[in-house]
Amino acid sequence: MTERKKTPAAGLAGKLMLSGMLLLGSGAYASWERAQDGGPHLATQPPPPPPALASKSAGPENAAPPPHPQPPQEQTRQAQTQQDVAPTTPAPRLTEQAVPAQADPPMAPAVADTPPPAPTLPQVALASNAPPVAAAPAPVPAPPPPPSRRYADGDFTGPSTDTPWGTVQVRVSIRDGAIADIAPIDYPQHRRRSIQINEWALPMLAREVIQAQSAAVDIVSQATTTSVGYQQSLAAALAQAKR
Amino acid sequence: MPKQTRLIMGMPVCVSIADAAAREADLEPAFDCFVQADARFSPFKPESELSRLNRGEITPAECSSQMHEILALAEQTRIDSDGYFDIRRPDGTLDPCGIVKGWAIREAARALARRGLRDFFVDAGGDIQACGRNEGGGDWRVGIRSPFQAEEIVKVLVPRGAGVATSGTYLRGAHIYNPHAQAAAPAGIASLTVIGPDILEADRFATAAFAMGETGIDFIERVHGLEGYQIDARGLACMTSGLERYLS
Repeated sequence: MTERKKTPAAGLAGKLMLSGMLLLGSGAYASWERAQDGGPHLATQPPPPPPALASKSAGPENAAPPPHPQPPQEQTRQAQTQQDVAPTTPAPRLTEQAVPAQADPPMAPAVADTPPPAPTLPQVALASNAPPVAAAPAPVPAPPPPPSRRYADGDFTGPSTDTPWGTVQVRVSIRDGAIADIAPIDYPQHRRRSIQINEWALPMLAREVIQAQSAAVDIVSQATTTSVGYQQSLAAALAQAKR
Repeated sequence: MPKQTRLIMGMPVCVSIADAAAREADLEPAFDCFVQADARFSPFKPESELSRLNRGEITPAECSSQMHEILALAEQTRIDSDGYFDIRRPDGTLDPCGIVKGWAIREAARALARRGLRDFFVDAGGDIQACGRNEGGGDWRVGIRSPFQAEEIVKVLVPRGAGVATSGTYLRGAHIYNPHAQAAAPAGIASLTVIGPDILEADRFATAAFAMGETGIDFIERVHGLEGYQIDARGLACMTSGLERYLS
């Protein structure tokens, strides 16, 4: 399988064949692999015509329901926390309404390449964008101060917030009145070392125990930080920072 | 080097441009893409086109070309993933958030390219489109964050223009669910990082494959042009056969 997988794409016929076979479900699994040999390239497939919306347009009675199923406990705490920050926020997202100070059009520019306040913690977005070679952010031209500084400078840590998988906690660093960094400082801890490696069920693919690597990276990829717990902790931290 | 982070669509969006001639103003078209996508596709804004469609105030035929593109991409992803990816919610409404983010990142990157910029990255909530080279003239290096230890990078990728998207359980909450298993989230897998030809492809397949649980990495292995790195709840990682080309 390894050798066959990456053969060059053969064209639209193969793509269509693959799509059809996918529709047939798991029963067509073997055929699917053969189709892949022919080179269907899902990744560059042009979008198909718009899908039929019959099934969807049937039931839009509900005006604006939260689309994601959330544990009841989450919803309750969500409501409580966001009420403190933004009473009108209807849904479990950190929209502009949830953090009013960030919603204003003259969005304060973030300070570029501000060093992290605590070297042991990573940054979410501005994070390790300072590889050893290219670091030297000293001559970075300081961005002009934002027209209105909504936040006080400093580090603000949100509360540790429960999620179905554990607790989440974030810390916000404010520089020159703008968000310079949002760092998760607590993750759910679910690792269970006692389970043996040979229980792994994908023997054909290479596997490894994850290990900490050098932090000399420009950008960090991670699961999107849009969970209710993350937003609650973030919103509370920003509320502390508000002037 | 122009670089800013803003909160849009409920997540930190970071745009960084390494082109020598770039100015702060060059960031705006990229951020505009996210603001416009949020205004059009947010299920949380009553006035958004999506909300109007969900309420039946407008018909699909009356929707914008962007809405048609998103719906088409969502349907294609549903077919590609054997139904694991589906924007249709049990109450009959549509929630295309799983497509819109990757699409918005790609649009933002295209907006920067249209300005003649070559060296930049767009990072929205940990999903990344990096192009060209970093400010030091080297390849952009993307670290995969540990799903267990916030301070740990457990893999370093050099995407060289490819898109990198990570789906996970812990921080995404119930955003991803397995429609076949009626489960709030797949058990056993902590995160799945997918590298694809661009961020839209990486993101939509990461979302779909993560919903498959432990077999998600097998699915990525079989789709041409995609590579993946999957971490299970025990801290064991599994990688596709072609991932090596993206390792430094």
